[in-house]
This record gives sequence, structure tokens and C-alpha cells, in this order.
Amino acid sequence: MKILLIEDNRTIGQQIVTFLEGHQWSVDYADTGELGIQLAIHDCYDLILLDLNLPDKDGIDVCQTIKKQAQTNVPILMITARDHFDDKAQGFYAGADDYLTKPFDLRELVLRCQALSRRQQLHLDKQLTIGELVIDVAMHQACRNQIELQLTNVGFKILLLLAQSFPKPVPRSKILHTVWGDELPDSDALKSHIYSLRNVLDKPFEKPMLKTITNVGYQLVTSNE
Amino acid sequence: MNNKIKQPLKKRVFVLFGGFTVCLSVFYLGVILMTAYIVEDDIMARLLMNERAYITEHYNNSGKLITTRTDNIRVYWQEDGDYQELPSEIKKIVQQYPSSDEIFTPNDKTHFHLLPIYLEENIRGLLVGNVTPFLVVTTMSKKMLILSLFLVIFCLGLSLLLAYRLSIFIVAPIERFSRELNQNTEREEQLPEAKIQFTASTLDNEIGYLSRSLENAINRVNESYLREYHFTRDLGHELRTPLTIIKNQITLIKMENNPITSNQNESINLLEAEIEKIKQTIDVLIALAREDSINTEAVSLRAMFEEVVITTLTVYPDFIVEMKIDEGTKVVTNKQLMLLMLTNLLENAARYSHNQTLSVEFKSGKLIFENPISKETKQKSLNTHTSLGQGLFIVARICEKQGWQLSNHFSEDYFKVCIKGLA
Repeated sequence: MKILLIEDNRTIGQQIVTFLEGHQWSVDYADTGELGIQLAIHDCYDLILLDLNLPDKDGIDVCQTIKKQAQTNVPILMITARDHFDDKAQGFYAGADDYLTKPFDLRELVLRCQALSRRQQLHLDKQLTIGELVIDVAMHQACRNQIELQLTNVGFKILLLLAQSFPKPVPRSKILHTVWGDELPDSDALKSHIYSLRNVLDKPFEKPMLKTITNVGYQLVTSNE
Repeated sequence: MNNKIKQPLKKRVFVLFGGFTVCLSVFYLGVILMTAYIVEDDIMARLLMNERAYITEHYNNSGKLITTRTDNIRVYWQEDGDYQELPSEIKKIVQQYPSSDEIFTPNDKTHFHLLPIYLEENIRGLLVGNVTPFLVVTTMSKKMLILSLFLVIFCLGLSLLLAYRLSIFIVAPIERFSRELNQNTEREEQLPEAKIQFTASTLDNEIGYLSRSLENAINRVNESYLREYHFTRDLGHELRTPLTIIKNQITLIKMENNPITSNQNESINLLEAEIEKIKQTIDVLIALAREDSINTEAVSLRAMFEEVVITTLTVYPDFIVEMKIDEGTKVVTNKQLMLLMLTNLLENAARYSHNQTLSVEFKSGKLIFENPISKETKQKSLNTHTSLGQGLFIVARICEKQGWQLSNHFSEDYFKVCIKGLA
């Protein structure tokens, strides 16, 4: 993955670059808003990490400019010490795709980068690939090891939600609200749909992909984890 | 905000003015009629007195009794203590009410005025004036009534017109002022930018004075809100940036493959724990200082808990939470403060609990956290008032702000936190 980091604090910048490069990602670094805009416009990135407090330009303006002028609709993750709702709202209105408040855990930063990149990939080719699992959103189909999975409508929705959040787990409440909206079913309905999903997704294969986070939610894991 | 006004000022001004005008008109109409009747009676009485004076003067001069000068007034003389020539229907009433000076005959409702005349001991008479033909007020009563009604309607119309103009004059600036005030309060989600100026504040009357006073008060509140916003933002930035550097550096040190001693590892863990505490403290204190921390809403406790558990699992993947919270459980709270409190409690439990396990239960408005702790952690917490104690100080501040009661209890192997009063 190719990432552009726009951050005025060189120490933080250096730390993020070191950490992300440790994950075999390529990172370009800009310590001013203007340099960040130039790099974002003239090069192609999978993701931009943008600090809001920049010496020459406000991060919100930088975000808007990049969203308008960049060759592709590159996802932007804002990293900032501003945690007020108004700041977050401003960021999202300016086109930011996610928001992370300092001080953050570098491991969380990596997870968010992965999630944003996957969402972008899904947006581009309407397909999600997680290890052996391939989900074709447009065709409403999912395959594991090139074998098509016979999923129910609800089963597909749950699998897609888990895949979009991968590798983060998804809370039960979020699954319930995404699939059934405000008219929640009884507590066993989700269990029985998860059981059916497991029968289709995991049972015919050697290693399971659907993991239960006891009392909290569910998570997709790849075979090599 | 409910803008429907049950008792609008405009309506009240209308009713007050209309009612007052009708009452005043009816009152004056009554006064006019009374005056007319009194004047009419007085004229009739004077006519009779004039005749009595004429008869008396003539008798005194000539010693002869004469008759009246007009046909409508007649004099009846008493003979043997009785008015023999007096018409019977008048006589009957006179006998019944000897002191009355005005009578109406029961059959044809003819109106008579009476005046006794006394010339000598044995010469007494009664002047009887038929005043019916001269009753101007009574005969004109129909016309008077129509005229009066016309006047009442005219006055009512005029007063309502005046009331309308007056209500426009009084109420319109208040309405405009209320609209502007509402527009300002509806923008409360946004940051106030320019100074507020109400249109009504230019008026040189009580409404102008009120709007200028409110304008000043709102502007002062907005200024202090902006000051608080900038202060918490700057403070957050200045404190969080060095924390980020320290936190990231620790993560990078842990990533490096260079072997470290167990003492170094313990120091790194201690640093990490302390940084986490500073981060939590900054987050909570800034959130508590913010004006919007007073806003509350009903939130799903279970959904919020699951979110926090999943975030905690990013850092503590082996952390196990046993949760007994019903799906539909809702609590009225400030979402931001609730999130910070749950994060604080869960991260503390993940860090200090023995076996990284925590059980959470919500029952009868009580949220109970219970986690096993090692004797070493317990002793450290009791001795130094750090770690769990520090975390609970922040939780206690949040509970205080939300109006909840916090209690904690150490048993041999367990640490229990109970929050009461959640609704």
C-alpha cells in the first residue's frame, strides 16, 4: 500500500513512517500542507494520513483541495489532537473518510488504514477479497476457495458487514441494526443466522473464518492467523 | 421548541380593547338615557309648579278659584275630603299611593304627573298633568336605540382598529425579536461567530431595552463559549502532541528486535500505563469542561459497551468480557462522557485484572463491574492510590456530573465497581 503522510510534527511523522514501513507499506512524507497537496495531486496514493494543524494551511482546506484536485478519489484519514464534535464534523464535511484522535495507538492506525483501503478497493471493483474469501457485492455472491457459498439474504448481509470491518470485530448490536434496522428480532435470530452462515462458510473447509468474540460480536479471520 | 402560543398577546389586546369599548359605550348610553329622562321629568314638574303658582297667585289676588291655562294640566278640588271629579282610575292609584307624584294608568299606560295645591285649610286640590304627549325620550326610544347601537358598533370598530394598530405596534417587534432569538438558539450546534444584533434593539422603548439586555447577555455567553472552545482545543493539542510522541516511541521500542531486560520491560510497561492514565485524564477533564457535556440523550447501553469492548480488544486482544446487559437497555446520558467512562473502566480492567477478565451486569438501574485481581495489584492499589484509584477518580468525576453514585469494593480476589442511578 502506498501512503502519503501530511504531518507538521517531524518526530510524529518519523515515528508513523517507521511503523508503517515495518508493515511493508511505502510512505511519502510532507511536513506542510502545500507540499502535501502537490504530492497528492501529482502522484497516486492508496491512502492519505492528514494532520489538521499544519503550519501553512488549515488541514480542512488541504483535505478539500485534495478531494477536488487529486486524480483519484483517494481516502483521507485525519489524525489530529482536536477531538471536539465540531472539528470532526468539519473534517467529514470536507471529505475525510475517517478520523483518529491523538494520542492514538499505532496498531489502531494500521487497522484503520487497512479498513479504509479495503473500502476504497470495494468502491473501485465491487469485490472484496479476504484470504480465501471473495465477495462480489454487485452480483450478491461469495466464494471461498473458488467454491460458491449458498448464502441466504441475511447471511450475505452479515458476511459483507464482517468483511467490510475486517480485521476488526463487529459488535452484535451493529449487526442487528444493519440487518434488521430498528425492528430488532428476538435474541436467538442472530444466533441461528450465524449458525447457518458458519455451516456454509466454515463447515466444508479445513479452517474456520468466522470467529465469535464472546458476548460482544463476531470477526472474520484469515486462515494464516 | 414548541412555538405554539396558547394565549397570544394580539388576541388579548383585541379582547381587552373590544370588551372595554362595549362596556364603556353601554355605560354612557345608560347615563345619557337617565339624564334625558330626568330632564324630561324636571320640565314636566316645572310646568305643573308654574300652573300651581299661577292659580295660587290669582286666588291670593282675587279670592277666586280658576282653572289651568293648558288643556293637558287640570286641577281637581277636594270636596268633603274627596276628589269627586278626578277620573276613577287616577283616583284609585292616588288613594293607594297618596304621596306619589307620577303615575301610569294600568289600561292605556297614560303617564300623569301629580302636584298637590294648598290654598287654605279647606281649599285643597290636585294638579294632574297628562304628560304623555310631551314624552320625547320615550317616543324616541326606538330611534335612540338604533342610533345608540350604531354608535356602539362604530366605537367598537374604531377601538378594534386601534387595538389592531396597537397590537402591531407592541407585538410585532416582540414577534420579530422572538423569531431572531429562535434562529439564534437553533444554531446552537454550530459555533457562534459574529456578535448577535436583534432588530428590536434599535427601538427606543421597553422592548428595545429588553432586546439590548438579552443581546448583551447572549453575546457574553457566546464569547465565553468560544473562549472555552479555543481553550480546550489548544490545551488538548498542546498536551496530546507530546503524549503521541511518547506513546509512539514506546510502541516502536517494543517493535524493535533488540533484546531488553525484564527490568527494562517493566519500565516500558509502567511508562505505557502512566501515559494511558494521562491520556484518559486529559480526555475526561476536557470533556467535562466543555459546555456540550451537559447535553444528554437515550443511548443503547449494550451497543455502546460492545463498541468499547471491540476498541479495547485492539490493544488487549486476550481480554474477555462477560456481559449481562439486555439488548433494549437504554440509559439517558451524555454519550461522550459515557464512552470515556466505559473506556476508562474497561482499559483499567484489561490492564490490571488477573487473567484479563471482566464481568459486567446491568440490573435495576445498577451497572456492576467485577474483575479478579492478583494480591500484588490489590496491595499496590491500596498502598499507592495509583492505578485503579487514579482510574476511579476520573470515573467518579463523570458519575458526579451525570448524577450517579459510584462505589467500589475490594474482596480477597475481586475488585468490584458499582454505579447506581442510571435510568
